[in-house]
Amino acid sequence: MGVSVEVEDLTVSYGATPVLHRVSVAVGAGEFVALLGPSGCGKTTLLRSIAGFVKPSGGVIRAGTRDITHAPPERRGAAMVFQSYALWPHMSVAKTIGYGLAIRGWDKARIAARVEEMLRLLRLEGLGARLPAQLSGGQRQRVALGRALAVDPEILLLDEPMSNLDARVREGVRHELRALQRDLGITAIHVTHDREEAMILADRIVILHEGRVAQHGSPEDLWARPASAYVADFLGATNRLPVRVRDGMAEGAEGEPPLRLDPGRAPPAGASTLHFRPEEARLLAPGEGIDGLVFHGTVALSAYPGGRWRAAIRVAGQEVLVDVPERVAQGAAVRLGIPAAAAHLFAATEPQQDRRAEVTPAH
Amino acid sequence: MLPYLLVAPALFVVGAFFLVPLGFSVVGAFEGPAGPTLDNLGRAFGLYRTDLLFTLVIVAASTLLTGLGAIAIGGYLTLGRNRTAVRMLAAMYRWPLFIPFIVAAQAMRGFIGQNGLMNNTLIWIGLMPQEWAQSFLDWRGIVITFVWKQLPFATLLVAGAMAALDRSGIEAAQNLGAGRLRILLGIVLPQVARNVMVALVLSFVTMMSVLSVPLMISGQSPTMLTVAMAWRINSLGDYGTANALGLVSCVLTGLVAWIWLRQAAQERGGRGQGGGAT
Repeated sequence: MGVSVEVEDLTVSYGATPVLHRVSVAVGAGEFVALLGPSGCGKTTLLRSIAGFVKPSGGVIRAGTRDITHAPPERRGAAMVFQSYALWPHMSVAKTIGYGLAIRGWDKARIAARVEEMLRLLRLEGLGARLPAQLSGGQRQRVALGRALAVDPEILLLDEPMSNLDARVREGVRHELRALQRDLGITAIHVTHDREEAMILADRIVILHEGRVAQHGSPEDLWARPASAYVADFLGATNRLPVRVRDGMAEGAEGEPPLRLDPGRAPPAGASTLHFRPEEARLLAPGEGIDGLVFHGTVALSAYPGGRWRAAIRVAGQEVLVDVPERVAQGAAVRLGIPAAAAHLFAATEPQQDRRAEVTPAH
Repeated sequence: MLPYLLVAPALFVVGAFFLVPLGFSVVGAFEGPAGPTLDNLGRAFGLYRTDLLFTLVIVAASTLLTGLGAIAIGGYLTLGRNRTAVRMLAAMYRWPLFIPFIVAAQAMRGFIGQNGLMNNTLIWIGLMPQEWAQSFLDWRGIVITFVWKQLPFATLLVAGAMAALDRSGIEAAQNLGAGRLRILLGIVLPQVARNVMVALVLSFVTMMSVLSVPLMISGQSPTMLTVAMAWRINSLGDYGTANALGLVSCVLTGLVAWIWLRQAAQERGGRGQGGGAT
C-alpha cells in the first residue's frame, strides 16, 4: 500500500545554478500525481530528489510520517522507473525483476514465484530468460516497471517512462499503467513533458515553470482555469489576441458586445492577452451571437490534419488557428467567436515574449 | 593510393622492427652449427624449465593482483561517495604510467630493500620492530614492482569503461537497495568484463617481456626467462638457446592471450573474436 509524500520548500542547486526554488508538493497515499513541464523546468530534479539521487540544499521530504530528506536512495521505500529503463544488458529478464528481492534476502523459490507473478501481471510470460537486447521497446519498459513493482514499493517514481515508446504502444501502456497503479494502491509520481499523458494518467497535475510550481490541481481544473499565461499556453491555449479590459468587461472587435468577466478571474483593467485553444473557438454565421468574445478577421490558410479543417485566421495583424468543420475559402472575411468558458485572459506582460517556441508541443 | 600511403609507415615499423626480427628469432631457434636442429629447444627446456614456471607464476600472480587493484580503484572512482577522495584518487592513480620499468625497478630497490625506505619508515613510526625488517628484493619484489607499474594502465582501461556505463543502471540497483560492493560485482563488473580481460592480457604480455625488473630486483635463481635470455647472449654468446627461449615465451604468451580472449568471446554469447598478442 502506498504512503503519502510531502515535499516542503525544497530547494536544489547544481553548483551555483538554482534548479528548484522552495517547491512544495503534497501527494496523498495511493494518489497518482504528474509533474508536468518543458525540459529544464526542474521536474526530473524534483523526482530525483524524492528518489534520493539529488541532494537538496534546503527543505524537507517526507514519506508518510518519516523524514527521508537525507536518507540514502535504498532506504526510501521508493522504486523508480528510469527514462532509459536502465536495464542491465548482461542480466536476464527474470534475474532483473528478482534483483530487488535477492537483495532483500528472499529465498530462490519465493523469488521465482514472485517473478512469475510479475511476468504474468505485465504480460511478459515466457520471456524470463531473455536479455534486454532481445526485447522490444514496450517489453523493456514493462521489465523496468516489473523490477520496480516486484519489491512492492510504497512509492513508485516514473521518470518519463514512455518517452521512448512509439505513439501506438504508448497509448496502451498508459491505460495499463493507470489500472495497475490503482489495483496495487501505490502512490505514484510521474514526470512527463507530455500534456496528454499527464491528463490521462494523473489524479492531479503539478505544472512546473523554471523551478517553481506554476499551478497544481486536477486535470479538469487546470484545463478549465489555467492560472497564468504560461499554464494556459502549456495546456494548449496557444492562440493569443490582444484585448482591452475596462470595468470588468473585455472588449473584442469594435461593434461586437463586450464580455462580462468573472470577477474572480478578471485581469486588472488595461491591456490584456486572450488565450484560447483552436478546438474551442468557432466561426460565427453572420448575425449569430455568442456568450463570449467576437473578433473580425480574414482566412489566411486552410489545412486538413484529419477529421476537421484547421484554419489560420488573421486578426488585427496576428494569426490564430481555429478548428472548423468545413474548408473555408482563403481570403474570406469571418467572425471568430470564443465562448466565455474558453477565453483565458491574463494581463499583458511586458516585454511580450513568445514562449510558444520553447514549449514542447503535446500531441 | 592515399590509404596505402597512410598505412605505409605503420606497416614499415611493424615489418622492420617486429615481424623481421621475429622471423629471424624463430629461424635462429632451430639453427645449429651444423644446420637445422632441435638442440636449442632441448637446451631451453632442459636448463630453464624452473625459470619458465617461475616466470609464469610471477606474471600470473602480478596479473591477478593488477586486475583486482584495477577493479577496486575503478570501482571506487565509479561508486565512491566521498567526492574529494574520488578526485584525489583519479588524479593520482595514473602517475606510475609515466615512469619506465627501469626507473621503477631502481626506485623499488631503494624502497623495499632490507634497509629500504619502507622498512625504515615503518620502524621510525613505530609500527614494526627493527628485527622484523626483511628484504623484499626477491620474487615478491618483482610482483610488487610489476603491479605498481601495470596497475595504472589496467585501471585506465577499466575505469574508463566503468565511467562510460549508463549511470542510471547503477542508480536503478541503488534504488532497489543494493550496496556498493554488490553493485560493483553484480552490475558494473559484468558489463566491463571484456575491458578487464583486454587490460589483463595486455598487462600479462607486457610483464612477460620486461628484463630490467627481474634483473635489478632479484639476483636469485630461479629467475625470469628474459634474464635467462640476456645471460645466454651477453655471457655465452649463445643466440640459439636465447632464440629458443624467446620462441617459447612468445608461444606461451600467445597461448594465454588466445585462451583468455576465446573465453571472453564465449561469455559474450559466442561472438567470434580473433585473438593473440605477442
